[in-house]
Amino acid sequence: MRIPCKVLVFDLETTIRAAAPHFGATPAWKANNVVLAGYKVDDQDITVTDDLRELVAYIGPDTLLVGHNLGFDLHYLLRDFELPRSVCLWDTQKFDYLLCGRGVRQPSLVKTAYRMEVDFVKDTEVSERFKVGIGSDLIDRELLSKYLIADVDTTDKIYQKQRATVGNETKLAYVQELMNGIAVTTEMSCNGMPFSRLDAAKEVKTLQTKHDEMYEAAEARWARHWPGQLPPLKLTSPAQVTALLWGGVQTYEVDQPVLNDDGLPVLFKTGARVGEVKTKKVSLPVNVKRLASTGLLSVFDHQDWEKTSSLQTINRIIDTSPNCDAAALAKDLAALRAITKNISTYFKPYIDHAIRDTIHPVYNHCVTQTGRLSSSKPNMQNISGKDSSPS
Amino acid sequence: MIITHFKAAHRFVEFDYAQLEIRVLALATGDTQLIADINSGMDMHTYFASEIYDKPMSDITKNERRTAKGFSFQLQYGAGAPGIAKFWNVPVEMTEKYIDSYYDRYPRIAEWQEGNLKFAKSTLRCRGDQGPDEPIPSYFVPVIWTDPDSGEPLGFFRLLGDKPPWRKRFSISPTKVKNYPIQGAASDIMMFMLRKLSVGLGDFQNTKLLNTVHDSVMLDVGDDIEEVIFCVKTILEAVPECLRSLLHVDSPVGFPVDVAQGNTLAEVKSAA
Repeated sequence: MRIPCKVLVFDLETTIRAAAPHFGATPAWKANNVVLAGYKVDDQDITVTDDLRELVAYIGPDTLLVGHNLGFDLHYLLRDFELPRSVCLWDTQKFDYLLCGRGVRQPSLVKTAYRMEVDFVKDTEVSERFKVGIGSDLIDRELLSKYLIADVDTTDKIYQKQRATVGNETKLAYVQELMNGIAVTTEMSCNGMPFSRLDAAKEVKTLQTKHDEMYEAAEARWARHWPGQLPPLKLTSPAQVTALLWGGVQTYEVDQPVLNDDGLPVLFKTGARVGEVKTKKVSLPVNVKRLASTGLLSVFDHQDWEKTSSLQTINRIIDTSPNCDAAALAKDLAALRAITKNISTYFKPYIDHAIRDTIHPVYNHCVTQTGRLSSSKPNMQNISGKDSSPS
Repeated sequence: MIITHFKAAHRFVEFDYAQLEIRVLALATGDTQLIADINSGMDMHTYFASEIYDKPMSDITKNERRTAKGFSFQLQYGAGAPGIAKFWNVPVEMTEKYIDSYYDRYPRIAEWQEGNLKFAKSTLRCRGDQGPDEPIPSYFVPVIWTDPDSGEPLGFFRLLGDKPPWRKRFSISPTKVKNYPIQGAASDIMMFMLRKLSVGLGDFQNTKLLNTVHDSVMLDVGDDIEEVIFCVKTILEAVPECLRSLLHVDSPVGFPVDVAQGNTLAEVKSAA
């Protein structure tokens, strides 16, 4: 394994200028910029600068870049500079995650410092400002520098301790390569995926219209099986749909007069409604007749399958008795839910997270218990061929 | 909706490790029969379908093979006979027969899983010392990689103990104990190889890493398509060399990569 010969511990403080809160300080938003960079090269003192070029000048093929939640800072560097692809990384957050058996999610600098027995108290004067969306450019420079120096110093101390816990070369090579992977996923985030928001918005509109038409027709069709006393059937209500499929009691509310001890109606004695009968809401039960045939019911009972309106259940109904009324309802529900899922899982998150027609997903290294990557903003791990129209 | 970075003719190309987790299982357990079956290219799903349905391999239908394949995935993910039977709506005797047949053929897998279960049980504890957010109770399962000198694991998974209301004591999850080390090692391999890929792609200006999903990576290739595919496939398939140089592990199996390409992601998915 190549041993990096220069250690560069660094941290960046940035603006929070993105138009929507969910973008926050993302480097993919071009208006977001680095306000201050703090860095420490090998054993030298910590330097604070507003010129990123100073920091980047220290980065060569044999540099080990050290930081906490390094992907975020690295994205800023990759956005504006060309870095050697072979640069090595040490993310104190990812190391902590690995050290804790992948059992902690994205540990903060405070928590990692605690575990590594490094004294550190976060300067709340600055961090509270970040929490409410005040970017670094709006914070007093001296205050921010102090904050940044404390973060870099703590990260450096954590790194030193983490490095000392790695006993031998094989283990070092192992954890080092796992951390180097952050460079690749940051490269992917930085590259982004060009995306046509216009096409996607058109597709959402088409799908929504199709959904609404189907919904209206389906609701009218199944309302005939719904007791008239009950509030109107909504196919989006799991309780109502479950009752329609499997039968059961639903309730509706009526106003009933309040009676006194003698069984006579109680009247309002004062106020605008003086003389009127006082009423109270009472729930009355109604039996909903099940659509499921006896045969279907016995299959579900025999298999000990749950009788709900979940996707698994409706698929089982369609597979088991494709020609009964319950299956016809299940097919309607499946079709409607497929459209809703397509809109909410794919189109909407992509549209919401696209920045100037490019999606820049974040790849999370410290989330899953198995060590697999996860992705967010938006989640591109569930990307499907179905949602990609011809380019 | 996802469109290319490039103006000229381009291809989206997906590289997907074939049977990555079963190959990692062979690597972890060293089961000679599993290694032989993988290396001979035997269709394991058809083999086990013939065991379950008591028919020669040549008579196995597509549906029967698909069922055996489903059993195999669920077993790898740690499911037991009742769970698999319930999911596939088949008699539990059938899934029991499958599992017996599987472990008869691959006895080292059962031994390896038993070893992990014993290890996990021995580490189940109710008090932690790892800081304020340590999950308690917890237990440990080793990663499959070991230090060549000491034989000690290079890391652990720390898992949260279960305590369903009807149990008096905390318990471990056999499903996670069997599956996490395999899934974890597969994701480790993916991470190692993605890094090699990123470094190796430096010479190709018109190629962009787009996305990675578990065992696969998607590229947007602007030109030199065949050359890029050859290069990427070569880099990604060099897992044994990577494991040897990085972790001093000799892999008894290869790690082939399937390639699918198209002008749109939909085309790629249908080609995969």
